[in-house]
Amino acid sequence: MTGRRGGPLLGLALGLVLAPSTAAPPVREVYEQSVVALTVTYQGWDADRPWAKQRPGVRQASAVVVEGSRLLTTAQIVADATFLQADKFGRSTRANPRVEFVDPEIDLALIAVDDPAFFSDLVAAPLAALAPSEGTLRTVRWRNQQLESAASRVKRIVVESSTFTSVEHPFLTVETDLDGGGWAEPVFLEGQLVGITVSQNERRARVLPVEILARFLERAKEPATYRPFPVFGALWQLNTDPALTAWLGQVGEPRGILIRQIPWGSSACGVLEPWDILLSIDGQPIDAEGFFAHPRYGQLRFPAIFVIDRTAGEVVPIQVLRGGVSLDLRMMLRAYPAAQELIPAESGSGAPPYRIAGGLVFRELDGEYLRTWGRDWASEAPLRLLGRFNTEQNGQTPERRRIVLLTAVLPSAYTIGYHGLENLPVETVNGIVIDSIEGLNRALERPQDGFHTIVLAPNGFRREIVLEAAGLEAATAEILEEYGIPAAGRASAPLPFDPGPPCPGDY
Amino acid sequence: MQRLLPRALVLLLVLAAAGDASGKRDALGADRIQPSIVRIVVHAQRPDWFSPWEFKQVEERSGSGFVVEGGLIMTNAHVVSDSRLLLLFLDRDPTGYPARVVHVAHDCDLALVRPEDPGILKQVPPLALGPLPRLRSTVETFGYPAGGTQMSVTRGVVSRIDDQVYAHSGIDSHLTVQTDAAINPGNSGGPVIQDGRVVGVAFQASLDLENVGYMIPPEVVERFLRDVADGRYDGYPDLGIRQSGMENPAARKRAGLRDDESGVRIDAVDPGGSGDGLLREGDIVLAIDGRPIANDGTVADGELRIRFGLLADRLQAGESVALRVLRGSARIDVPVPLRIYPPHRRHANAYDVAPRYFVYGGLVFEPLELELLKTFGDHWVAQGDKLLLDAFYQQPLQQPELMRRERVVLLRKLDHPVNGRMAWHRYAVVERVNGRAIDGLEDLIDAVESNRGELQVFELAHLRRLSVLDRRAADAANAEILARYGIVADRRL
Repeated sequence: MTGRRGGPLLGLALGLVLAPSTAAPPVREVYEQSVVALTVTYQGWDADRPWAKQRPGVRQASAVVVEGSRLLTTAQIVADATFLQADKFGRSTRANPRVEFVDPEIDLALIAVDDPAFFSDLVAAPLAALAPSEGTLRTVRWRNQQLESAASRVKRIVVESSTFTSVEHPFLTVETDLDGGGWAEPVFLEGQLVGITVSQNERRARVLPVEILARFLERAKEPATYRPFPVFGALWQLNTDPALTAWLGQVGEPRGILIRQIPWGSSACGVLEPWDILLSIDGQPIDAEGFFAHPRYGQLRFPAIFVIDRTAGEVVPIQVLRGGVSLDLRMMLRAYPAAQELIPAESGSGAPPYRIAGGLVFRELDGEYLRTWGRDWASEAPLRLLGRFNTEQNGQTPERRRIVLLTAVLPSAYTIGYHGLENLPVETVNGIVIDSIEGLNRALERPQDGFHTIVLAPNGFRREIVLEAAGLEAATAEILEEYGIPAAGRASAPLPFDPGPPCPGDY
Repeated sequence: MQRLLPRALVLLLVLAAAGDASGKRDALGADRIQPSIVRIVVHAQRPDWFSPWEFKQVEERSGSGFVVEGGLIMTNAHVVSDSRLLLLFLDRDPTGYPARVVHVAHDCDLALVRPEDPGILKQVPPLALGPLPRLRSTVETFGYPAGGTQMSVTRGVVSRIDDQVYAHSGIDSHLTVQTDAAINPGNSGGPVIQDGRVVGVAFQASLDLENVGYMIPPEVVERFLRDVADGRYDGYPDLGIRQSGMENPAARKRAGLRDDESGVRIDAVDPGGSGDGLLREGDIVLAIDGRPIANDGTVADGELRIRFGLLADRLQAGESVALRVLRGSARIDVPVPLRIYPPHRRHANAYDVAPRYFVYGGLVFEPLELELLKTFGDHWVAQGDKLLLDAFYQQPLQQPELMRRERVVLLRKLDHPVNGRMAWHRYAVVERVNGRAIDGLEDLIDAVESNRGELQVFELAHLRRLSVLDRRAADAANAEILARYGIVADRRL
């Protein structure tokens, strides 16, 4: 919460900390010296042709100087980045920033600049202790060498899922005067950083509050032992129906939420069971719609309890009504990164794993791939894929890590009869159940009686593909040559964290 | 043959609401045929599957038909379906003669109609059926397109003969003759003539291709007439298998096919269908009734190659086909008595039936069928509830036994204090009621009505969704809910 020690700005920063409510601080200098413009050249992978990249694009965004000579921005801004440029005082500089640490789950990233001189005339933005629940804030960015400082009025605090992941946490929603914001602009109150924007729709912007920023910065100091933000993880529903609560053995007014399904490896695994009513977490009673009373922000949805003050690995007491009996249990909080989903909604910025075998193109089913059906992918993608996404997204188990798809067949003589097959989930290859590209690769090393047999999930088109094993390698080489594909496959990225021992859910 | 996945590519050729007279008179040797062609005007009314106790607005449409033996008029099923009033207009006679449907085959889009006064056809010569027209031969279509009250004749050549999906049911595909003779709305049910005989019944046109009209060939018409000869239409039997081709040499080699053999692999056998217990997944079907099946699933048929399943199409339920099958290393002959497979009809457009339903405590239950999904609107595949679409189209592929069961959907809720705070109340298949697995609407009703407990507990498919009603409160509210929402009866079975 202080500026960099030494230099002419120390007094200013200390002044903010010690006496924020005295005479109006010279906040404009804070903005000028702590907000930088970020230009990100990015190039994502082509989900349809996972060996290729999409056309490159450029994002104009913001970052804010934080303690330790780092720039803080959102993870989405640096996703798929191929080149970064940081401009201070609205003018381009020769710094070569690089992404140092990213937590895509909470949507934050730290950027380092190797040239220490870059920070010589910059100052870390002082962090406010708490995000305000009302009042007018300033959203700040550089545009055309001008510092824009737009009023942003706090509308309310909401608990929603992070931009791309299942981490639910509080956001400030503000009505802003800034045009076209939502690109990681820092938001200040009286010269103190209170948040960073993550999105803007017309005048309504979502702001990641300073409580989250502060905890991210604290934990990111030790990247090797970074403790991720915890996720509740279980599927639940409102418990407002007195008939339903009567069936569950609850007496009196409905309260608590009804647990429906528990994914493997989620915080709730091994602790909660289907049809439990979760009555309180960490001593905070939860109402029948999933809200608890936050001392400052009023009624908030309960996942906020985990995210603000807890980290993965901590144990919290919970109270549960099970079969009409109240139980006091302890729940260890866990992260639930997208990689732990059977069908990850987000694959992060990782290159998609794939395999080409004699013209058959395989990849894992994920949100990236579904979004190739365009803006209306949730209605336009094939039903057989949407059905799985809608019912099994969180259904990963140790035995079933991913759904592997035959996405397409690149035509050649070797695959005659199979051309035109597309987007079909694979069940087994050479008798081995397939749950990842790695598993597929291993299975393709074990042909049976000279053949590869690929069994597809029942689909109405074709159940089985048989290929001559002896010809596979040559056919693959020919396909790569013919279709200009650089490599026959790419391995999956390892899990971004150690998931610990398997923890059973009820999928 | 039936396909169970949605597709839309053709236009049915009835004309919605009659317009101005603009038909033309054509003298292409038509004078002898013309008296046997009738115009059919139908006032029809469809039920509403969203409010299954109600019917929609009456619609008027017109099509064509022709006189056949027995004082009957042949036309398309889609001309006469859901009719409330059916009027026949004879050639150059402005009188509308009431008629009624005698037989209707929604799976092959044919119907037979009889005038209430049989005397009106006394002077009208019936038309006779001819053979399948040859490719590139010339045909003439007769009918009353574009709202005309005067007959129109157009001429074209037979441009293709293959199997097509019959759009009326949406899932049945049979042999179809394609012609470039102009076939327009209103032509539906009119005869296609060659050498003075009927060689097809005009029925649909392509939306994607220009100058492409389709007619139902004589073999389909004859099969329909044979089917109804006993006074009842039974419908098409089905082999009850899904298969895929063996075009890939590796697939043939691994299956152990000899160089002089070819065939298709059975991928699935419908439980309870014709092949159940006789055929197995993995069998290679080499021949049907002695005719070798090519690796793409076709057989030679005269000057055509047709899908082998079309040979079964020509038969009636109870008749058999002989399949030669490679199973493991054995080549065996398997006679397959053909059965009709009623579960497939849930995937077809429904006509001349009113929806089955049950209303309890304001909850509306209906069987899971295509018509229910169509209540999501014209773009129901995109706009429909995805879990319901998945339950309908995908789940039976993974769990074929589901095909046998009538699954019941909690469609929606009629709001009332008794159900006002229910968390889940629409678009969900009901798996269990009060702990009992549900098989059909009657079973659900029984599970509800035989329950003496305090609560009615509905367990819904997918994601463990639950809905619960207070039984006594719901029982007490039923009559009031029906009255409030204008529902005459709480069920139709």
